[in-house]
Amino acid sequence: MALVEVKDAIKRYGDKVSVDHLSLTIEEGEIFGLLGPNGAGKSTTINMMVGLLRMEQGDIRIDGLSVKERPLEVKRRIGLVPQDLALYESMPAADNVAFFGRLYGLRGRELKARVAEALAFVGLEDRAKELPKTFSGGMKRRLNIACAIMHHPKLIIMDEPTVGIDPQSRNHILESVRELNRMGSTVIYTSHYMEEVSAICDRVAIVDQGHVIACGTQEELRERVSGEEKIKMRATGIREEVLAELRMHPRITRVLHQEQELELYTPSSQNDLQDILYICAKHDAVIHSVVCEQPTLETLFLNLTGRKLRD
Amino acid sequence: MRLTTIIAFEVRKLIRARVVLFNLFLLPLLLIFILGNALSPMFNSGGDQTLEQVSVHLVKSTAEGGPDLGLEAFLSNPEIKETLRVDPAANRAEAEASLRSGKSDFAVVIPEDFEARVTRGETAEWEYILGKDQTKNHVAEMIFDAYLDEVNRMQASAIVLGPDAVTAAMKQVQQAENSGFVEMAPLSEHGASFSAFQYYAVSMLIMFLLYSGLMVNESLRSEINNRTLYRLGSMPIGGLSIFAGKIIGNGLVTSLQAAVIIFGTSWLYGVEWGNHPFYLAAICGLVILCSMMIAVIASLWCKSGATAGTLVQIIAVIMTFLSGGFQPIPVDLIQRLGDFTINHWAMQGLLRIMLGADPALIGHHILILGIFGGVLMLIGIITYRKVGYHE
Repeated sequence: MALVEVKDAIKRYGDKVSVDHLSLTIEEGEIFGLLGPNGAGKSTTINMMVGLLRMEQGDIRIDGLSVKERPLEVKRRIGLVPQDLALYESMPAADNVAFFGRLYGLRGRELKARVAEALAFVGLEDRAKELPKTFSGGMKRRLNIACAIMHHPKLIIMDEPTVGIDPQSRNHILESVRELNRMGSTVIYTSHYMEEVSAICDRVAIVDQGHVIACGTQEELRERVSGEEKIKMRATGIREEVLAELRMHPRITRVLHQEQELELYTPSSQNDLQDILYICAKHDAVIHSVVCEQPTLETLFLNLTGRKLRD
Repeated sequence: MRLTTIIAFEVRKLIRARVVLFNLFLLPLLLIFILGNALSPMFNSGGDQTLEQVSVHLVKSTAEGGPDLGLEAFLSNPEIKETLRVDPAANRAEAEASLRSGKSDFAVVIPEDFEARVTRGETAEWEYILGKDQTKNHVAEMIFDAYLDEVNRMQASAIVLGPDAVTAAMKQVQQAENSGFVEMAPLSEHGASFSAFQYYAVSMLIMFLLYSGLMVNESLRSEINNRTLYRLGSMPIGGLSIFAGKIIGNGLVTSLQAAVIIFGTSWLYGVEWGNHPFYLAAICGLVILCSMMIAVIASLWCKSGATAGTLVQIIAVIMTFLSGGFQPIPVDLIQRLGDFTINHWAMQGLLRIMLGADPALIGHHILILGIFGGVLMLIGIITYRKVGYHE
C-alpha cells in the first residue's frame, strides 16, 4: 500500500525550476532513499511533503490525505529530521523533546514516557538534563532525531541527517534508521552520499534537476548499468597517445582522465585489464595502482547525467 | 492546546534569562530613579512659582505719530508693568546687542508695515528675539501674543461688522482694561500637579512597554537562526498560531513588567498612580497591543530581523522624544507632532489618572489609544495575509 504519492509536483523559485514534474510513490514500511547532488530538488520535495512549501502544480498525498487540503492532519503523521540542527541550545535535551512532543499533542505521563523512550533510542538518556550547547556534533544530530520520533510517526523524513559528523555517530544514526523501520515507521532518507543510501535503503529514487531520473530497488537500478565495470588507475606518464589508443579499444566504452587518475569503463574488467595494462606499458606510462569496481548507484548517476553525484 | 504550549514556552524562556529579567524589571526602576532625581528641579511640586520681571527692548520701526492701536495703554497696565519692563531700542542690532550682553531678557521688533497691514485687514505679526531664560521668554511671548490676538480680533470685527461695532467693542475693551488685563489663578482645575518621579515613571513605563515588541521580534529572529521555526512549521500547528502564541506570551511577560514598574515605583519611590486601576490597566494593555503590532508589521516588512529590530527601536525612541518622554519640550511643532504618537495619549492619560481627572477625559485618551491599537492590528492582519512570514 502506498504511504506517499507525489504526482507531477512543480516548484519554481523565480525563473529557476527547483522541482520539475516530479512523481514518485513510496510504499508503507520501506526505507526509501532520495539520492541526488546538492541542488537537485530533494529538500524542496521534502519541504512540500511536510507542507512547508506550497507546490505550484500537482499533489502530494500522505496516508491518503492531501497535503494541500489537510496539512495539519498530514503533519501529525510525519516526523521531520531537518538537515540543519533545529534545537533550543539553552534548554535541556529532555525539555527540547518534551516541547516538540507537546506540539504533537502528547501530555502528562505519556509525554514523559515518550521523551524518555526517544532519548534512550538515540543513546542520550544519561544526558537528558544537559544543555545541547554542551553536546558534540554527533550528539546534537541524535537529539535532532529524538525530537522528530517521540510521537511514533508513520512516516519519518530524514534530510541528510549525517552531514558533518564522525563515522561512529554516522553508524549509530544509520543503525537507528534501520531500527525505526523495524519498529514500523516508513523512512524517507535523503543524502548525496551514495554509500549511505546503498547501505540502508530498500528502494531509491535518483533525483537530478528537479525530477526523478531513475527509481527502483538497488538491484533494479544496478541492472540498468550491468555490463559496465569501472577500472580505476593511478598512473604517471599518460600522454595523449595512450588515451587515444584506449578510446580506440572496441570494448572500452568511456575513458576519463584527470591528472594521475584514470577511469575506464568496460563490460568486463577481468577480460580487458590485460589489454589496458599492455597499452599503458607500450607508451611508457607507469602504473602505481589499479582498482576494479562493480557498478554502483554512482555509476548509474554518471551514466544518466554525465556528472558525478558530488560534482 | 498547541497555542498554550507556545505561550507557556515563550513565558518560560523569557523568565529564565537573567539579562531579560534585568532589562525588563530592574532597568526601568533604575532609570526612573536616575531621571526622577536628576531632573526633579525642572518640575515644581504643585506650589506657585514667582515670576521675575522681564526686561524687554522694543524696536518700533513705524513712523512717529502713527496709530498706536492701544499698545501704550496695554503696556501701562499696572499688572503688565509689574511683569514686563519695556524700554525702547533704536534698531534690531541694538536690541540684539542688549540681549547678548544680558541687559535685557527679550526683544520685540515691530515691523515697519505693521499698522498698514492691520489697516488692510492682514494678520498682525511681530518679530520676537528670544533671550537665554526659557521661562522669561515664555512669559513675554504670552503677553505680547495676547495683545496681538486682541488687535487681530478687533480688526476682524471692523471688517465684518463695520466701524460702529468696533467702537462698541472698544468700550468693552476699555471696561476690561479697567478690570485689568491680568488675572492670577491656578491653571490646574484642582491645583494638583505631578512630581518628576511620577512623570518619569509614566514616561519610562510607556517606553518600556513599547520596547516589548522587540522581544517578539527577537524571539522570531532566534527561531529563524536556530532553524527551530523550520521545525515548528513541519508540526501540526498553524503559522498564525505560532505568531499569536509568541505575541500573547510576550504580552503576558510585558504585563508583568508593567505591574512591577507600577507597584515598584509606588513602593520604592512613593509614586501615586491614582485611583483608577482599570483605566491604568486599559492604557497599559493598549500600549502593549500597539507595541506588538508595530513589531509584527516591522518583522513582516523587513527582510532581516535585525533591520526590523532597529526600526522598532527607532520608532519607540522617536515617539518618546516627540511626546516629551525624555524631557518636556516647549516647542510648538514638536508638541503638535507629539499628538500623533502613542506615547502622548498614553502619557497624558496616565498623568490624568494620577491627577484624579474626570473619568470622561481619561476615557477620551483611552479611546484614541484604542483607535491606534485597532488601526495597527488591522494593518498587521492585512500585512500578514499579504506578505506572510518570510524565513
